[in-house]
Amino acid sequence: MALFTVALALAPVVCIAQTGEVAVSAPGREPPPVTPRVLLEFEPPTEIKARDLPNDDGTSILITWRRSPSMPEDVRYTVYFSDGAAGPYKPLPFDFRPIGLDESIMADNLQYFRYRRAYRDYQFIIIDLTAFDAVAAGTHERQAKYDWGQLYFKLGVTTDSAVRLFDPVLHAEPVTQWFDWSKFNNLLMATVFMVVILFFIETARRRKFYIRRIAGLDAVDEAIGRATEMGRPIFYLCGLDPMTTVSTIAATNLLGHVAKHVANYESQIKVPCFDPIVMSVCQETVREAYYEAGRPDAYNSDNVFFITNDQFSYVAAVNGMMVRERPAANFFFGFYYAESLLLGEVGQSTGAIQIAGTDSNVQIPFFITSCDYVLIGEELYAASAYISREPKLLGSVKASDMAKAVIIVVLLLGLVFSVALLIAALNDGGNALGWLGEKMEYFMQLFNEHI
Amino acid sequence: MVRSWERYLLYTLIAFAVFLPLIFPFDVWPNLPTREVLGVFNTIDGLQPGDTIVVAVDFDPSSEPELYPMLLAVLRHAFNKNLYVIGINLFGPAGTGLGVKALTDIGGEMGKVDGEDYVMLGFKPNLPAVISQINSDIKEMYRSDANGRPTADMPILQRTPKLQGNIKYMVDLAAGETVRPWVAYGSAPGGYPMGAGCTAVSFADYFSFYQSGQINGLMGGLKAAAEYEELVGKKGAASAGMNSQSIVHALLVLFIIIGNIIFFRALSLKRAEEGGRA
Amino acid sequence: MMFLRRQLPVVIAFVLGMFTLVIFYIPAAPMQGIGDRLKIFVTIIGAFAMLLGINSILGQHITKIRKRRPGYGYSWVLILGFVAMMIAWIPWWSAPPEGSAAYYPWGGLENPQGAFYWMFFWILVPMQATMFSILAFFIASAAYRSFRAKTLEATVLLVAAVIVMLGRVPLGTSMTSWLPDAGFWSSLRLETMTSWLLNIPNAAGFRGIVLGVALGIIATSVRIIFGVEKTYMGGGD
Repeated sequence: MALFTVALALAPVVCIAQTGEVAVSAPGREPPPVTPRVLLEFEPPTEIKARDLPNDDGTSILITWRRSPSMPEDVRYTVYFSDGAAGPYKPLPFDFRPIGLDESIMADNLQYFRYRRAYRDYQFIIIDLTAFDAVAAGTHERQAKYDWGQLYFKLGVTTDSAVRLFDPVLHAEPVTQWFDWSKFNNLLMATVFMVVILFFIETARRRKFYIRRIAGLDAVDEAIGRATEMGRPIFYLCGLDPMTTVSTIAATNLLGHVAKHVANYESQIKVPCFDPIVMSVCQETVREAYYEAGRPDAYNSDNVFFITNDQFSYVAAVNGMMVRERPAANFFFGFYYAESLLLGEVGQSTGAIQIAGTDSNVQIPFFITSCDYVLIGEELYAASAYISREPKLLGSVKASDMAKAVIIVVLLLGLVFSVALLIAALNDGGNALGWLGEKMEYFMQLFNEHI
Repeated sequence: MVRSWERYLLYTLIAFAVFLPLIFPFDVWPNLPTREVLGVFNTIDGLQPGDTIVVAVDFDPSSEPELYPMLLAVLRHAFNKNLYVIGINLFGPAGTGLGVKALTDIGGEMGKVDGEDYVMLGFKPNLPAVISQINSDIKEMYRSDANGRPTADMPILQRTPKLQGNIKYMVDLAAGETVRPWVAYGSAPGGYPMGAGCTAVSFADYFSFYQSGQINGLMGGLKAAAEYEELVGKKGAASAGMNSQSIVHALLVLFIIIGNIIFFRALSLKRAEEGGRA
Repeated sequence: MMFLRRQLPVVIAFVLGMFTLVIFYIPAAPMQGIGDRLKIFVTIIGAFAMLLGINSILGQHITKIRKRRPGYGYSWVLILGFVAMMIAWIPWWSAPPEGSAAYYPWGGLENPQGAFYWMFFWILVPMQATMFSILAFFIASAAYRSFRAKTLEATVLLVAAVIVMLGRVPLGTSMTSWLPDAGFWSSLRLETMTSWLLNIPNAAGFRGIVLGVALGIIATSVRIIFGVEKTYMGGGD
């Protein structure tokens, strides 16, 4: 095992390691610094390899190794590079954080290795090759770009003042990937869920699905009726999020149904909007609803209007209208922020029936205290299915329930596994439950993987 | 149903409970520091003079009451320890002015020089890209600071040309969703520890970052700001606000109790009436 | 015409929806580049839609002034505010001062002496803060009205609310500060109970809601991508 040791004298000196030499100081620096014994006195890491970083856009490579069992704690791993296999090897031209014993352990990265307890001793470093280009562009050197195919690396260990490099020379060609296998579990689950949704939508055409009562939606009719009796308008808010969020889409879907009822009852609906795109969509939705109800003449586009894109200014304007016009009913659907209670309390004080529906979990409590009915979380998404009783829509609600059942099973399994592992670990330490425990850990890891 | 005179009575009492403690400050209840706030305080306290930290002013005037006192307390602590401070704002343009004001006020008070001991970099959109860039080069991203002065020869940025490897700590005072990108693109790849401050409402949301160790301290709302002020030893707006908040919370509990008494009295009256009829 | 109104939007929704879904799984640079461009499109469309919004609000208030509807004076306030803020933010064509991107004759946001800065920080900001602060009053009336021990569940909610409210302020924590710091009795300190309530039952409930919401989002997205749900296009069902 040939060892290459380089001592870094003072901070920004580029040190060069040549094959066969043990310690080389920076040129022009007398006396050659002594390599600390701490760097020489332990077993080197083994199985040092470089390969293309999987699942990326072809700009990085991955260096992996099995860590040395005897390495002291204050020594960290680092990487040196050269633009030719023969060397000389220099520190990376960009800032690179050497990693310690405890960091970046293989077992945590299903992307790079399958889960085995034995892999706990493997570590890795990712080298982003675009960083070389960034440096080259910044230095205005004549050879402005590094040739990625000619970059060679060596793994080393370092203290603050010295470094020791290991064989072999590492080289890998980065490859552009056209499928991210680390997201395969995600794709699999998404596909299955999608198929289940489409299956239930298909089934729903033939079979009737039961959907539990949602009191808030049953009250919609009552609220519209009350508004008609009192001769006062209905306020409908679509939340503060843009059209790209699902809660806003759900709110506009529901608006279509509500507006149709309003048109039938010959009542009046007002939709103050926070976002101009949402406003255009709402205008179209309400117009179409009136058309379908056979009352296109009753539609007034001035009733769906934009106020402002600023949170509290919007609230001030809507609250002012509530106090002046005293609507008989307020509907708050979509995503809300801190303004939820401001809207709800003012509406409450004017004596309106209030129905809210939001997936903003932080704001649900505020709506519950100030509104008569609240649709919690996904009830908002189910609302348009519930009101229209359209079998296709009900089918997708059913599919969500199925997925939820699967998630509950997975959660329960996770709970059982973690309790079992915990109890076993208390009894027999690291090797809890043998191969079964390993499988359990793999299962947990699979669902823990976040991207 | 609340009658309208009841409503006005409640509002008047709340107004008094907020204003009186602010007008006549007093000091009765000690504000014991929580573990989460100590996380930020101890990290900054453990730094050496001459170290550099980043303070992100990621809030705008609507959350100023909660987060601005926090910012002042953290800056006071940092300048007291003779740390260099880089201020930055990636939440919205309105936050820059707050950052400039806080740095100038506290820096001036402690005899620090703009550009040497501290700098406020302005607002830039596209948070992940900006964070990744300043991790490797600040001056490339910010040619000038928030006051429009060029950064090229600024002493503090000569000393700290990039975040990675140069800064010892980063605190994100966040009104929106900025903690996640700072963790993902700043602190994790850059290898510097990170703490955060947020409004009281978002505390539960951000707590998971603290639980997972991605941030080593979390200051939630006015109470945390007051705790920090107390730790630094200079009470300010947050401590004054704490008295108001204490009294208002107690008043709310009182309202709930009274509301319940009225409710149960009405209920027993109704029952008695029904019993009488039967 | 029917095709333009009914089928074409569904086709666009399907193609772009599937495309965005697919590129989530493709790390290669060209695909990610197209994805980024699509996101920029959304921003550009949003900017144009802003014109629609401005047209809507100004149109409403101009009509109000013209027809002298009650309160039309306030419409003047709105229009004047709109115009004043706009003018103060217009950059000028002269050379910008050293270090800034454009020359703002009325100051822009960077110049504390400018008109825009003044209007922003001394009109808009205090008004926004005021609106936000009104929450304190509304929380009082909401708490007074809704926290009634009508049922067992409501009572649990009420007790939890009282504990959290007191546990988050020095007045409350000093009420139980005589209890020991460690051991069994420490778990009866208000701040300990508060953080337990927030971090265990509250977090568990939140996560349950978040899981349901995530599934609901997927189901709704599938309905939209496959054209099952068209109400938002104004297409009825």
